[in-house]
Amino acid sequence: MDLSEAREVFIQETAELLQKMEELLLAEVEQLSGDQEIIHSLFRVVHTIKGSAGIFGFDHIENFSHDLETLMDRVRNGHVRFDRDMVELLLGARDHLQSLSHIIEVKEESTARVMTENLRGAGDEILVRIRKHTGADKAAVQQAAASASETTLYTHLLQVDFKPALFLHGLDPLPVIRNLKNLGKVISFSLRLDRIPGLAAIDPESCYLGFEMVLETVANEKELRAELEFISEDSEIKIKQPETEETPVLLVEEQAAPVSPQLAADKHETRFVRVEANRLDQLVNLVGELVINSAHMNQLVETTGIPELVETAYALQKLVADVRDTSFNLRMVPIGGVFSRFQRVVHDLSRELGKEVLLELRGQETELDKSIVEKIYDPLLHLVRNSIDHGLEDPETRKRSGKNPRGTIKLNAYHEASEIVILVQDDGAGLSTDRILQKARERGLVRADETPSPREIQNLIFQAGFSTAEKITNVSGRGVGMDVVKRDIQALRGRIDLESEEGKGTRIAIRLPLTLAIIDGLSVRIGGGNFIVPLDIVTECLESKESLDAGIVNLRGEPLPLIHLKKFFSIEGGLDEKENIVVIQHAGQKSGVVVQEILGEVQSVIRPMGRILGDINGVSGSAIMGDGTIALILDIPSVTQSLASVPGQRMEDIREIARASETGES
Amino acid sequence: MRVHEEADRTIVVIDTDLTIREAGRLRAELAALKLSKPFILDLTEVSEIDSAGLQLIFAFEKDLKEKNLSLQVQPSQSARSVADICGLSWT
Repeated sequence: MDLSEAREVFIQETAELLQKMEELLLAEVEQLSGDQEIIHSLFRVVHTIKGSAGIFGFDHIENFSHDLETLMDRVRNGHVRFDRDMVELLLGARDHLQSLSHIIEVKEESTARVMTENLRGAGDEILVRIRKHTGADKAAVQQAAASASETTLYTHLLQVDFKPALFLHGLDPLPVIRNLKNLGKVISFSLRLDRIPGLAAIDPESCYLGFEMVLETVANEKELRAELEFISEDSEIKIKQPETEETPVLLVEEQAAPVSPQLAADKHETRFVRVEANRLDQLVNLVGELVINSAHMNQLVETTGIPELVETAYALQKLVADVRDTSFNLRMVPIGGVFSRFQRVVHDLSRELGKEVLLELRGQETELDKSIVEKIYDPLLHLVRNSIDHGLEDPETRKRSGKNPRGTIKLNAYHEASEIVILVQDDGAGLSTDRILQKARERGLVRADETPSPREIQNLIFQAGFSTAEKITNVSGRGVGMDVVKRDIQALRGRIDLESEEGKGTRIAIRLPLTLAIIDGLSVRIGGGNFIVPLDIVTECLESKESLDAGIVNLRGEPLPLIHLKKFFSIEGGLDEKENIVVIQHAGQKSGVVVQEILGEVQSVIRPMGRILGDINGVSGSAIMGDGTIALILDIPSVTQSLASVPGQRMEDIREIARASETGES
Repeated sequence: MRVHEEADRTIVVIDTDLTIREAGRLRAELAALKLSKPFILDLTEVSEIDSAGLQLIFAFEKDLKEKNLSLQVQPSQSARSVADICGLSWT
C-alpha cells in the first residue's frame, strides 16, 4: 500500500467514524440519557481517530483529537457533566476534525497551508473550551500525550465457562460473544467444546459451552466485568492481563476447539469488499450490452424453430435476467445514509432559527440506485430547509394556534411499483394560496383575469424566481429554490408533487425510477415509428372495433380517455390502419394510448437522448432494440399531462361523453 | 429432519429451526442414526439457530469423531453468521 492509498483509507475511515460520532451525539442531544454505552462509543471513536492520525503522521489531527480524548475520558469517568452544552461542544469539535481531515484531501500544498491557517482560530477557540473542562494547559497536554497512548489500551485474556442453567434463565452465549467482540479488537478467539458430551449423554437444554478470547480494548478489567455482569451468575468468568503478547496465544492453541477455529475478526473483514464505483459502472454497462444482444439472439433463435435451441435460449435469457438483476442490485444502496444526514441539518437549522423541530425518519432501508442517491441529497436538503424556514412556525405561534410547540418534519421512503417514493412532510403553516397568487400576479405569471385552482396555484412555487418569504433569511428566500429542485428531480427522470393545506402543513412527494439504466417495456408501433411503453404501468391491451375519434371509449362501463399518439407526435401516414389501445394506469388514473400495432414485451437499456433532442415533450429516452433498430421510450407523465390540459377533455367532460356514448350504444 | 442415504455418505437435512425448542426432538432423532458413513449436515433450510442448537451439532460431531467419521456442515445464511461469531469455518 503506498502512501496515497493509505491516505485514502484514512480519509474514508475517518469520515465513517465522524459520521458515527455525529449520530451518537445527535441521539444524545434528544434524550440526554447519559448512557454509558454511548459515552464509551464516543470515546472509542475519538481514540481510533487519534490513533490512526498518529500512524499516518497527521499531527494536527492527532493533537486536536488528543485534547478531545482527554475531555471524553473525563466525561467517561463522570468528572465532567454530560449535558446539552457538552453535546454542542463535542459537535463543534467533531466538525473541526472533519475540516481538518478535508485538508488532507487537498493535494496543493500552498492551499492546504492556507486552509490550516484559516482553521487555526476556530480550532483554538474549541480547544480553549475543551481545556476549561479538562483543566489542562499546553505543557500538561503534551506530557499527557506521551503517556496516554500507552495506558488507554488494555489486552485481556478472557475465559468464560457457561453453567448448565444458563439456557433455562433465557440467556444465550452468542449475543454475549458478539457484544464482547464489538468492544475492541479480537486478537484470538476459540470456543471451548471440551465439556460437551456425546448425543447419548447430552441434556439438550443445558449449556456446556465456553470460550476463550484475547481482546484488545480501551475498557479496563472493571469495565469488562461490568459488560458481563448479567451473565455472571450463570458462568465462570476469568479475566487475566497477559504479561507478554505470546502467552495468551499459546494458551488458546493448547485448548483449541475440535472444529477448526479461525480468527473471527478476519472473517468479518472479508464480508464486505470495497469496489471502485467506476468498475461497478463498467459491469453494469457490460450487462446492458449483454441484455441487448441476448434479446437479439432470442429473436433470431425463434425464427429457426428448432425446439432444443429455443429452449436453451430461453434458459440463457433467464440467466441473463438474473445477472442483470444481481449486478443492478450491487448498485443499490439504502437511502438511510442520506436521511441520517438530515439529523444534523435539522438540529443546526432549528437552533439558528429558534424553532423546535422533531425529525422523523422512516423507510431508511429502502434501496435505490447509487447514482440517484448521490443526486437526491441536494434537492431534499432544499425541501427540508424550506420546511423549517418557511413551513414550521416558531414555538409561540404554534402554541397560539393550538399546535404542539415542537414542529415535526417527516422523511419517508418506500417502493411503489418500479418507483421509489420519497415524502417530505411538515405540520407547519402550509402554503398561503392568496399570497402566492398575489405574488404571481405581481410577477406577471398569472394574468389578472385568470383564476387558477388551488392546486395550480400551489404548484406555481416551482416556477423560477419565486419566493414568498416575507423576510429573507440566511437559510432560504433568495428566490433560487423550488424551480431548481424540480429541475434536479426531472433530471433523474422523476416527478415532484406538492400538496398543502393552509394551517396544517405541506406534503411533497418525489417519485423516482429505481434505476436509470434499464426498462421493461411494451414495444408498440405508432405510424412508422417504434416506441416503448414502460411495462409496469400497462394494465391491459385492447383491440378496437369502433372508431376512436371521440377521444373516449367505454371500458367495461368506465370512461377511458384516449391519447392519440400519432396526433401527439404529428406522425404522418397509415391513416386507414386498424388501431389498438394500450391501457395504462398512471397516478391513479387510467387512460388509453392509441397505437397502430402492439409488438410485444421487450427489455432494453435506456440511452439518454442527445442534447439536441433532449427537450422533446413525451419522450424520455431511447433504446436499442434486439434487431438493432432504435425505439423511443414514451414519457407517460408528460403524455398524460397533455390529456389533462386539452380543453374539453377534463374529467367532467369525459364523464359526460361517457354517459352519452353509453346511452347511445344501448 | 430428512435423511438421505447415499453410497458413500449420509446426508441429514434439518428442516426446522435449530433452537432450544427443537433441541430435545433433534437430539433423539440424531441419536437414532446409524453412524457408519461420513455425514453431511445440511442446514441450508435452517432460518434460526441458537447456542443450544449449535452445541447439539458439536455433540453429534463428537460421536462421529469416536468412530473416525467426518462431519461436513452446509450452513444457511443465519447459520453462517453464527459460525462467524464463533470463529467456525463452515462454508
